[in-house]
Amino acid sequence: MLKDIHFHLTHYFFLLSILSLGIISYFFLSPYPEKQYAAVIITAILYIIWGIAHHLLEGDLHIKIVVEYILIALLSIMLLRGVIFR
Amino acid sequence: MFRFFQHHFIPHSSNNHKARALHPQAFLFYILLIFVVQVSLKTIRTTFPHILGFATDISVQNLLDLTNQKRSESGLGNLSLSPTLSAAAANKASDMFSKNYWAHIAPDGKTPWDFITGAGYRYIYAGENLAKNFNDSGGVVSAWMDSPTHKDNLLKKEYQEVGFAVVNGTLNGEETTLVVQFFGSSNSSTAPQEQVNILPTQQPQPTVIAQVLPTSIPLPIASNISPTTIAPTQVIISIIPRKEGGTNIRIASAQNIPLFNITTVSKITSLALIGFLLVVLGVDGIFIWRRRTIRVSGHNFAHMLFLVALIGIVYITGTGAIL
Repeated sequence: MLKDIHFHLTHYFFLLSILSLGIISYFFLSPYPEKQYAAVIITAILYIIWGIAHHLLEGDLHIKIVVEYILIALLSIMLLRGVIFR
Repeated sequence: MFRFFQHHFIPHSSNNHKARALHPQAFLFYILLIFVVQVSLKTIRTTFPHILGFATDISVQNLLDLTNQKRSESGLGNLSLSPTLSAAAANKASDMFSKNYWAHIAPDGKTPWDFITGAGYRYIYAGENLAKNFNDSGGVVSAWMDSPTHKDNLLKKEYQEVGFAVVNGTLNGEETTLVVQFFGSSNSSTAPQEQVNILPTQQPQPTVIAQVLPTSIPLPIASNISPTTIAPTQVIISIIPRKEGGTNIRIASAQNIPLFNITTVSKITSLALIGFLLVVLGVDGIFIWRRRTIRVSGHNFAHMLFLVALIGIVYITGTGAIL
C-alpha cells in the first residue's frame, strides 16, 4: 500500500514538474508566439511520454491508453494554437 | 433524457463503463470542433473586422496625460510632447516590425539613441520604454509603473520631453499593437555634449551609458520623417495643435473597437471546452472510484492536472508585455 502511494506520488511529482516547466517556459516566451507554440508541443509530447511510462511501470499499458493520451495532447495543441495565433 | 445524460456523462454498462464524452471518438469530435471554430473565427475576423477583431484603444494623448499624471503624483514636472521624439519612436516601431524583433537593440546593432539622433534630436538625457499587446493606454502606463526599472525611466526628473508611437502590425507572427515611448532632454547648443542613455533593465537601477558623440555626424531633419509613411497597418493619424502654438504635432493612435474582441472570444471558447472536459472527467472519476470499476483507461486525475495547466496557459496568453 505504502509502496503504491510512493509510486504514484513520485510519478505525479514528475507530471507536475513537466506541467510547471511548460507554464513557466510559456510565460517567459510571451514575446515570441512561435516559441510559445513550440513549448506547448514539447509539453504535450512530454505528457504522452509520461502517460506511457506511468502505465508501463504500473503494468496496465494498452494501445487504447496511448491513444487517449495522444488525443488529449492533440486537443491541447489545437486549442492553444487558436489562442496563440488568434 | 436521463438515459442520454447517463450514456454520455456517467460510466455505465451502456458506454462500456466510461462516459461517452470521454471516448476516443468524442475527442476526435472535439478536435474537429476546435478546427471548425478556429476557421470560422478567422473567416469572420477577415470578412467582418468591425464585428470580430482586436480591440485596441491606445492613444498618444492618453499615454501623455497618464505619464504626466504619474509624474505629477511624484512631484515631478510635466513632459511636453516632442514631434521629433515621436518621429524617432515611429521609426523605431517601423524598424521592429520590418526586422521582426522585440528588443531595445535591433538585430543589426541599431540602438534607440540612433533613432533619436537620426530624427534630429540632440539629447543630453534619453530613455526608451516599450510595450505591446495592451488593449488600452491605462494598461500600458500601469504596467510600466509596476516595473521598477520602467517606473524609474518614467519618473526621471532629468527628462523634459517625450515622444510616442502607437502602431498596429504583425510581430513574430502575432498581430499586436506596439507602443514606443522615447524620453529626452534636448540641448539647443551645437557644441559637443555628454549624452546619457537610459534603458529599463532587470537590475534595480537602470544601466547608464555615457557617450560623447561627434558633432560632425549629419543629422536628418525631423520634419522629413512622417509616421504616416512608415506605419505598417491600421494607424490612425490625427493632428492636434501644439500647446505652445506654432507648428502642429502629429500623433498616432491605434483605435479599433469591434463588437467582439477576438482575444476574449478565443479564450472563452477554449476555457468553455476545458471546463466541460474537467467536469466530465471529474464526474467519471468519482463514479469509477466509488464503484471500484477496473477498466482499461488513462488516469482521469492526470488528464485533469493537464487541463488545469492548460487553463493557466490560456489565462496568461495575450497579456501585455513591456520591455
